Amino acid sequence: MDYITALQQAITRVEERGIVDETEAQAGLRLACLAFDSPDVPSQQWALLGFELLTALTELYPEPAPIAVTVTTARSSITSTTTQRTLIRLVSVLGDGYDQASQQPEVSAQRRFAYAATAERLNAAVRGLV
Amino acid sequence: MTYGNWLSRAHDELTRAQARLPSDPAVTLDDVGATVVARQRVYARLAKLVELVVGGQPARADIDRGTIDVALRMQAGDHTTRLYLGLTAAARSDRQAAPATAPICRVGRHLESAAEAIAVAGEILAGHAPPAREPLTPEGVAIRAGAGRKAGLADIAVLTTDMLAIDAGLPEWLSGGHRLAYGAFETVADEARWTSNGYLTEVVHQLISDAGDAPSLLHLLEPPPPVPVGRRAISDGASALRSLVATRDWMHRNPGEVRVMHLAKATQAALAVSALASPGAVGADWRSWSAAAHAAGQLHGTPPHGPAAAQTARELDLVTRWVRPGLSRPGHVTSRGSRLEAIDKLAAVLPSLSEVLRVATQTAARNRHFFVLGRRELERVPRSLVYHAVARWCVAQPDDEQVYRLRSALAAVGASALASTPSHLPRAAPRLAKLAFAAPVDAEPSQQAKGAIGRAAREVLSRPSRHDHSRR
Repeated sequence: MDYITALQQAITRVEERGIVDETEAQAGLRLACLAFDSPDVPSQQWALLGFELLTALTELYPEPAPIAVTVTTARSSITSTTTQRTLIRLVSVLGDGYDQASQQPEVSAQRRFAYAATAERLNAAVRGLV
Repeated sequence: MTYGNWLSRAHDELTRAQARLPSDPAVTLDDVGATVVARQRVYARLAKLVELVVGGQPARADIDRGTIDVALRMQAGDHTTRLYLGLTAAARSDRQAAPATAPICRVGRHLESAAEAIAVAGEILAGHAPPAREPLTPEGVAIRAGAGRKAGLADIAVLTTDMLAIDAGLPEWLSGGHRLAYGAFETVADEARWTSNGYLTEVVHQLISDAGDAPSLLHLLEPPPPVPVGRRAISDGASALRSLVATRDWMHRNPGEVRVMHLAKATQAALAVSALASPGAVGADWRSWSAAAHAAGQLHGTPPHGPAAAQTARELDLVTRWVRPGLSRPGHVTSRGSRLEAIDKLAAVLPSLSEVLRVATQTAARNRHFFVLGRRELERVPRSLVYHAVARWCVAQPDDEQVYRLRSALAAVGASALASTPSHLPRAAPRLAKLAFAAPVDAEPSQQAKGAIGRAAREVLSRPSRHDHSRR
């Protein structure tokens, strides 16, 4: 599976299930992070987005779920406009998901605050890019 | 205060002492004795400063004055050795030590203050590169490799020039004070005449001339900050800088204690700094830091061991939180411009940080502190027909792909910093030494121009030495 297809599938899954399914959310964040593990980062704004994704991952999920996120081809290049657009879409969907999750009363207060902060930061990083 | 500030203070004190010589005689014999001791202390501390700048004694410190006189006349050895010999000879006295009282007259008090200022400057240098020990900070490594040596010796030469001017007036000062002073301190008057006779003056002129426009990197040095303990947030850019430098120095001193958590947090902090720094700031190679942070984020390993290691990880976290944009935080009230300036200062630390982390990564991998997921193997419960793919954690080898990616990304940060600001150090100097002062080099000449010690160096060069004069 190539990187864009994996991103599109992740968007669909997060839109369907929301981020309360933490395994899906983690998988989405990890998939997005894959784009930043090579030095092909186009600009400082992109690097900042990569930082926010990585920080969200380590802060929200200090104990990583036992999942492996792998893509077989063209795995991390964000030099193409299509990949950039798809990645931004995934981050926006994740941001919206965290925003919605922060409003759900069944989620613990501490977690809701963490979700709200993550949503705010991801959205701010995306705003810097578009 | 920086090393340069303390040297400027010493220069000011010596200038004041010189100005006071004609009008401020000592009243008591004890006061004369205390002033003479303060003079010797200044020379002794200048000699010590030479040792710290060059990383050892250029010559034996116990050579008698007659031999040193011959060495200075014959121009034996290099300028640094001759300066050192002259300073050690001036610091020694044939007279018995005076009672340990503080000077009362202005001349003595200014000399005493200058000696203290030079001692503090020496302590700052020793904090980075202690004598006869391994350097404690990347800046210390750079100093040992020769960074800022010429300009550092020129600074000492300027202060020596100040002392030579004082020595030129000292015999008269001794005879103008207490009626018994000249007789009691005749040997000191002879010593002062000897130092100011011209040969040492020539050496200091040559050292100042040799330095030319070499950047005085040492002026920037501050005492290495300790890793703060128990605080909950960083409130301003200066604290963030101290914290980042302190954690970097701790990891440099203790590469064996560095764990994945330190690597992950340090690379994340560096990524945030580089992504927010001014475009083109040295060390702000966001591409390589992005690769490094994401590679470190995928590594697993043993947790930090001991309170200092845990505190270092916490401090790195606090630095990241301060740098991180977005939500309100302590220090958010600072203006956008000053915040950017503070982040650019943090970026200047990143080249040396990358090298410290690269060495620590190698050490941690060698010490088997990293874990990676091994190959998936099929396993089944006994008698079951279903096989499960199970991956087990195993100890990473230094050449494992994830470890290699982290190391190469960190190496790329250093390479790009050196490409943008080539080091003044010899090619064989350690990479960390070249990276320690990779950023501030461009900014330094203007700072040097502002300093009293820099102005004094130019003044010394503009007036010919008495020795040169006599030759003509």
